[in-house]
Amino acid sequence: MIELKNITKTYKIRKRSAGFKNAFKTFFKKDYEIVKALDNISFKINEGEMVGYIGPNGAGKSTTIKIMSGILTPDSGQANISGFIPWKQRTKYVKDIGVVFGNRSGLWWDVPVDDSFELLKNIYKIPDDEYDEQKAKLVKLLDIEEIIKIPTRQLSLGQRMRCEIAAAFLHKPKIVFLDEPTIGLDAVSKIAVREFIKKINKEDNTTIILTTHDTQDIEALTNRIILIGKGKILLDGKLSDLKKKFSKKYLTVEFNGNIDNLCDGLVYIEKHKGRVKLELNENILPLAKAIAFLTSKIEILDLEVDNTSVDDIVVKLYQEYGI
Amino acid sequence: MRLYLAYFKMKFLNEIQYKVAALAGIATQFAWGFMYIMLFTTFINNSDTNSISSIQIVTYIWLQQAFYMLFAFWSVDKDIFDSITTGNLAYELTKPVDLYDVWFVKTFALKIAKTALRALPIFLICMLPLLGEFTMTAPVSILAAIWFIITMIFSTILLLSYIMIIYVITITAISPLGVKITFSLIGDFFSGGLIPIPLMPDIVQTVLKYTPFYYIQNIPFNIYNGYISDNLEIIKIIGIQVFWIVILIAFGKWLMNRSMKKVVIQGG
Repeated sequence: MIELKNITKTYKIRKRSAGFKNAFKTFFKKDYEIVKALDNISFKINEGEMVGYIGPNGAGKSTTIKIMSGILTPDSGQANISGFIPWKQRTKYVKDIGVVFGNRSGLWWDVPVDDSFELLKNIYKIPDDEYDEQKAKLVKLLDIEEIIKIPTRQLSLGQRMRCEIAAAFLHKPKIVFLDEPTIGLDAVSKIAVREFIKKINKEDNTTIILTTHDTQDIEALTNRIILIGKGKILLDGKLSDLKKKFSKKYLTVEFNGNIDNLCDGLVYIEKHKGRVKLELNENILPLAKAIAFLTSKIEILDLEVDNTSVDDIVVKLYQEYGI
Repeated sequence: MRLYLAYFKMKFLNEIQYKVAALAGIATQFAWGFMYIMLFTTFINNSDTNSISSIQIVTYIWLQQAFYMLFAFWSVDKDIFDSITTGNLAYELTKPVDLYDVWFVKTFALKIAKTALRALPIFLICMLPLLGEFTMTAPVSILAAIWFIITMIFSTILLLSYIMIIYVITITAISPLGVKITFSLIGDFFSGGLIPIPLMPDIVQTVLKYTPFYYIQNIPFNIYNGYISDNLEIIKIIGIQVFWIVILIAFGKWLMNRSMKKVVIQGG
């Protein structure tokens, strides 16, 4: 179980304006700005949960991940992750966690990936049979059988990422932090990674915390999302609830005939001759009734129903909270 | 222990790949070796106050060239600096290992790998009699050979514990440039990397005996060539080596723990 309570972290950032004069000034006086990266962050995540941690760039996502994985010490606040305080008992605590930083590499650059795995086996003191079993499983799920014989530097980003992810799961961690694991991947690799995460979460009951900008990741993987902006938690809830709150349906209709008046629950978005786009408010008018209404008025040639994408929801959330 | 062996093996494998660099290194080492020998033997042959003979200096210089990568202060693990500047350090921090020990082993492996590729050819060629007055001698006695091996080990550990402090300071400074240049220049000069310590003025030699620099390459090389031969003195020297190792490692670990609390992994 993961429990964070009132975590606060500030960074001191040095800044100056451009130019010689200002550069020279810094010899005598340095200007700092104190930036609050995290401001009273609290949340609780249960075992086996899969949580999407989202927010715009610079919101504090990575800082939170770094604190939870024991790398950073917060200014104040408490944390209890499976009985440990991450930054105080780092070496004991990290045995049970796995971390993937999408924009960094944890594999050895010049040797085949398999050698890196071998080293991890020694680092985590994994018994031979357990290691072989887990490795075989990961290799199969992520389809990296041949890839792990190649030195890391010669792998494509997608291949390397799959290996990085396998490396984080070798020791069967109870909690895994994935910091933008699909950054820069193509569609095929993305789907492979998502399928893998889903499967391992289900089979091994691994708790997974995922930060991402990819809304499809969120939709495919998580039920619960935590939205963070400017260092504060703005929202912590189910994705389906959010969808209900923000979701709208759009009907695009091609037809013969004339629509005179729309009934309650339908509003024009676009209006052309023979083609309209309508917004449907399902709270007033269920979809079935809306279609029945339309068929009674016109001869429908083609009908398309669109939902709001998670992308739109996220944009709306950012707008609503002014971040 | 198995973990550190694994790290050693990994770093060694990683490093042994750069064979062309090693070949080029050997050529450079020979060029410098001949130059130094000509320079220092001219000095010795034209003065009457020196206690070290030109034969001893020739052997000293070739040993220095053979073990150049082991005792060069600037030869440190670039990957460690990179991991600090790029933030890849984050990954190492999520592993259940003591970072100080791991870096120590990594640097050790790196130096052994680099030395292994260079030392043997230099040894073989320099021992050939056809080099004339440039020929390197064998250890002056069997006992000297044994003392040489023992003090080599302690000298290496001592140097590594000094280099560790460079890494640790870099964690707070982020850019390794200034720290590395300052520390390696001081180290290289005062450990006899540029001018052998026996050729330095007496007063400098006396002062250096109170620093760790005196006890690095100066000791094994000068035991090998017979410049230091008193057994009692050698035992005392080993004691001082151990003393400095304990001090530097304790300081390094303390500093590391301190900077780890304040470490900020930037970006991402």
